[in-house]
Amino acid sequence: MSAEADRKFFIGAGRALGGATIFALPMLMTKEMWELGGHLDPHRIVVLLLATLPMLVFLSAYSGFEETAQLFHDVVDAFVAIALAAIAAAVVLALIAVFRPGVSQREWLGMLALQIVPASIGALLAQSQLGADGEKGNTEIDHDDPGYLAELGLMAAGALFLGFNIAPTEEVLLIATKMTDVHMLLLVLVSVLVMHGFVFAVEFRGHHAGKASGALLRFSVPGYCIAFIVSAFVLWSFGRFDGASVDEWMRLSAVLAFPSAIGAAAARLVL
Amino acid sequence: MTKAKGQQDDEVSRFEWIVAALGAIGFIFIIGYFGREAARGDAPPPMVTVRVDSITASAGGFTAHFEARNTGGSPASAIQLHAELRDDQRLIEASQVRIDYLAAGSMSRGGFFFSHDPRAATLSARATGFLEP
Repeated sequence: MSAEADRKFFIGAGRALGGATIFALPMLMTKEMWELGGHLDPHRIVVLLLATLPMLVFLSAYSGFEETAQLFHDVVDAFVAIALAAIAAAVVLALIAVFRPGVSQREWLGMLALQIVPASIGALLAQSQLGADGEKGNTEIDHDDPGYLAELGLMAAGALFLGFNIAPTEEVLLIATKMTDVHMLLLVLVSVLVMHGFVFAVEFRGHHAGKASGALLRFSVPGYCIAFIVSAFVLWSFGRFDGASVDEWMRLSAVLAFPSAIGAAAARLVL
Repeated sequence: MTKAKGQQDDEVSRFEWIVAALGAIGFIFIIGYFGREAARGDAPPPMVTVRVDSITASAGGFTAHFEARNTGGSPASAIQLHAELRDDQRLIEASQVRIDYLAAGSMSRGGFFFSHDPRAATLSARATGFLEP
């Protein structure tokens, strides 16, 4: 237990707190997120958190705020991220007077539980975004060739993150109402095309040279499907599907899948 | 590619264990908290009670300060509060206010404005309706 290990941990923890704050701020300062914390079905909060945990373990394996080399350590890092995310979220919510006397235990716990999802993702991404040393090679997933499943996992994380940003807003419903069926069709096609543009950018960066053929079928189309499913999951979690028809579910998911798909594609480029 | 671990990698700061343990405990607590609530099934409906705790006079009239608390088991939105000043049975003045949102167990403060002094009459206040969020 040397001072060196402690020092490295505190540097990592500082980065994680910064990452959690940056990534969660848009949601920390969104009214709908506070209200959702108070009235979201408890079973949905549980499902959301249980779905987030394996995502965090995966992200830690890919690029945690400490170079990790084994599954157990990735789990430890995921819980560190959750703890630091909760601290960052609680401090910001208290600072902006959302946590104040009169707010019940159920309400603030619900708010905190929701904010832990984006904030803990942010805490883990802090290493690859804010880290200066660039020692990515030490993680057990090789960044130059992470493997197909890891690539899909990254896309799911990117989709979850950006989808989470936009799903709580009223605008998703409003946009879905305004759009005609032709708009919907175009939006889906453009989403896949934009994704494919990002896929090409990844190829261009030289990380996936020689795989350009079939990239549409290998990444863009399955990536869009992942973004669509993640969007539907987030919308369901936030109660946006309640009382709506199946047609409405599809329309809302297609609207949210647009940003989610870009998040999914960008995750491969950025991380 | 998996790198061989150096000795340095095996060394984990004790603070990391402490923070990870806190994270695990907090996570399990939150899961347990909402899991228990989910297992209980349907929550009782919202019930908003209004209590006027003080009256102040100002240039334009009087303010009856209230505290509205949702003592039910579910959250409510668009809660309508209604206050009346009566002298015996005769209605002197009424005042309304709306609370946007009140989670279960949460409390919100506000005031009813009156032009007559509420201290010289009988003041009653109650919630008259809500919407499910």
